[in-house]
Order: sequence, then structure tokens, then C-alpha cells
Amino acid sequence: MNAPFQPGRGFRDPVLGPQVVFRAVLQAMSRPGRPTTLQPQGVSGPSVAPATALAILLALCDYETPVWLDEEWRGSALRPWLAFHCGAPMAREPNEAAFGILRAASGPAGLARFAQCDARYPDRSTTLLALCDDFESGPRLSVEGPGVQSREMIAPAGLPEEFLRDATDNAALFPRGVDVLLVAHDRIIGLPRTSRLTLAGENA
Amino acid sequence: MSADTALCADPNYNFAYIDEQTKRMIRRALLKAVSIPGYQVPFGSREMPLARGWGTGGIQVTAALIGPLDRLKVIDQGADDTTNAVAIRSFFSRVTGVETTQKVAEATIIQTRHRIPERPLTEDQILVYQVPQPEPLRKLEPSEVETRNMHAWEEYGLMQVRLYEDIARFGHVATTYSYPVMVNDRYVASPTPIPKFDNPKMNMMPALQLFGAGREKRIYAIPPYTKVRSLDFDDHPFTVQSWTQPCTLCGARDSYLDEVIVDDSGGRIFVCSDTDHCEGRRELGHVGPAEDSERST
Repeated sequence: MNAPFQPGRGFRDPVLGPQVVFRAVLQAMSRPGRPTTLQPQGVSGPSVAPATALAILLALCDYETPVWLDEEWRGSALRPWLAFHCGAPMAREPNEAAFGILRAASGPAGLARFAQCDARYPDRSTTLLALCDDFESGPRLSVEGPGVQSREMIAPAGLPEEFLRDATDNAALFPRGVDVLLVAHDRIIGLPRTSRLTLAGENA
Repeated sequence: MSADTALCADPNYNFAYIDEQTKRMIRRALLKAVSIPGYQVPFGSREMPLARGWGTGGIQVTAALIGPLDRLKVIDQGADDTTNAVAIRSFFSRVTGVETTQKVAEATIIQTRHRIPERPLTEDQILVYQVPQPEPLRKLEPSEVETRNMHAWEEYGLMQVRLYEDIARFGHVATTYSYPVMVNDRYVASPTPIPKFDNPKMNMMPALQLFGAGREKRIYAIPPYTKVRSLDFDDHPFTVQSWTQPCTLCGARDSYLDEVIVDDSGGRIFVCSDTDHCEGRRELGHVGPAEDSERST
């Protein structure tokens, strides 16, 4: 990596920016399957990742939260950017990570690789940002569980392979398991471990 | 951020008092709490400018949530004008400059001590409970290691035995507040010392419910539209309190009533504990039974 470090930008307002991001993430996680709009609040960084995902990491990560990136991204400008803005260490193994980024290009989702913790401390599991292309053109999934009044329909495109199978296995582990936040451009959808996903058919 | 908000907040403190590192820690705990409904997430509770046990958990949760666009309501036993509510409301006014309100309908965040408002909450609201003792099993099992195992393996027989002993001794379950609930068919949780009258409101509530216990360093949550069942037995179903008379001030028959002693010769009245509910009804022209009979004569 010989290119000079490009620091990009952090939050326009270092106090109210993260507050807006957190409220959007909380809204998304407490209402699974319902898309929430989230502007990145001035955060910009390496163009490989959407600014919204970077803003979420910046709002929630610090020196206490190891972040996991796939091998390709670990060697990218994202790593120094994260270190510079929030001091988050890199997780060496997926199961040491507090946060992680999943993307289709790095192979199957493999949710089971990440920290599931034990039933006495299920809160110590990994929270994953799964990058999608959009929420309309993929296979149609119905979402049920706490936070959903009856059911929500989503159609995320560009999810990692085997995501649906892994998410079903993950939900069966409750109270253990990882929590997922889907990110596409400036919209997010929460899929905590309590969410039950079922395939409702392919999009025409 | 609008310039107005910046001006109203006390510039000597960070917005919402606590530092950003602490807010991130609380926010991470809140997200995990929402993902595991009813499970108590440990968090690094901070010193607040208020004694522990006086709502510091609720304050920390509210401080991690609140933004300049929020409108805050704080209630203490249903009332906006009691000491704890007044103190916490003025605290947030000072350190955030946000608008406060006494009307349930106008609030985006409602911090509460021991009541759920009578008016049904909406999807756009968040209810923050102040929790003195988050562990429903604590009086039965003093060891944290043990209660943690009991939650992990879903061993709640002891709680059923406690309720059964009430029935064996008194003929009914004598618990009237902090009545234990089962959240999402998995975790037994404390609804905090709300009267059991309020327990049914927690079930499938459209608003997000967050619980902060400052002294005990725990945060837990009930997401919107989540099943919350008060523990009971098939032959002793859960029931709530009822009163023979309506509210003396507004005539409400559907609200939780407080007994108020009015003189030193045993005189007493029953009034709504939810002051916003009572005032709202009186503004609409509802009157209590005494005034009602005066009017008709």
C-alpha cells in the first residue's frame, strides 16, 4: 500500500451526527424488515464501502470493539481509515469481532464463523453490516418476529451466498446468535437474531 | 444541528451531559438489548449528578437516545409534577435544550418511574423505564452467577413456585407491582415497579420500551409488537386491580387510581395517578361524581 493515506472526513457534528445514526440503527433493529433512511452525516471514506456503512461503524465503534473485515478489505484503505477515525482494532478472527462487514464478493455469508457467545452472555456476539445492492430486486423474503406487527416483505439483492440458510440457523440458536444490519446506499434494514426469514418466491 | 438548540443547552456540558465514549457504550448495549428481548445487558453505568437508585439508569438511556428534535416527557408515579420528574426534566432541559412536554401525545421520549401512561403509545414514541432492581429472580436467588444460569437455561420454576406459595397462603397471587412477565416466550423480566394494572399495556405495545438500571448496571428492552405475558396459572389467571369508585376529579373508570388522604379524620379520595390523562379529561369537560351530583341538583 504505497498510496498516501486519505483520511476522508468524520462526522460533520461529532456529537449530533452519531446520535442521528444511532437512532436510525435503533429504529431499524427494533422494527426488523422495515427500511430506514440514514444519511451518512458528513462521513466520507474509502469509496469501496458505502458512506452509510462507514457512518454506522464510526457511530458505534471505538477502541473497545474489534472490527472484522474480509481479507481483501483488510489490505485496503479502509483499515487505516477506521484506525484513524475511531481507533478500532482489527479482529484477527471472526469470532473475536464486535462488528463486521459482510459482502457478496468475499464468499458465503458464514454467519456461524462469528461470535455467538454462550447463553449466559448472549450480548457479546458480533453485529454484522451486510452490504446489499438494493432492497427491491432480490428474492422476496418475509420477516417475522418481535418488532414486526404481522409480517414485513423485503427483497434484498446482492446478499452473500447462503445468507438465508445461515440466518435461519442463526435464529434457531436464540438467545445466542449474531445480529445483522442490511445496508444499501442510504437505507438500512435490521435483522436481529429474533427475526425469522422465509423465502416468499423470486422476483419477476 | 440548529443554532437555536445549541444556544439553549448549557455550553459547559457535552450535549446530554455524558461523554461520547460512554454514549457509544450505552448505545451498543441498547442495540443488543433490543436484539435479545428481556435479556439484561450489563453496561458500565456512570456517576450521574443524582444519587444511584433515583433514576440514573433511565437518565443514561435517555441521554444516549436524545437529540435536538426530541420532545421529552418525564413522569414519576404517573405525575409530571413530583420531585423526581421535575428534577430529571430540568436536568435534560439544561444539558440538551430540548423541548419538554407534559402531554403524552406530544412526547417522542417518555422517561417513566413506575407507571405506563394511560393513553396508548404510538410507533413514534420510546418509553424509558427507571429500574431499581432489574433481576426478577433476585429475591429468590441472591447469587448473580446462579440467576444468570437460570436465565441462560430458562429455569424459571422457582418463580412459579413463588407465585404458587402466594396462592397457597392467600388464595390469590398477592403481588401487585413488579409483577413478573415473560418476554417473547423466553426471558422472565421485571416490568419495574409499575402496578400490575399496567402489565397488559406492555404486550404488543407499538412503542419501543427500554429499561435502564443505573445502580445495578443493566439495560434491557422490549421491542415494539413483542409478546409480553404476565406469569400466572391456568386456574388462577392474571387479573388487574379494579376500583369500586371512579376518579374524584375526572370520573374516569378505566385508569389507575391513587388513594389520597384529604383530612385528619379519615377522609379520602381516589384520583388518577396519570396527571396528563386526568387533566386531559377535565379539559374535555369530564367531572368527578361529587361535582356531577352538584350539577344535577
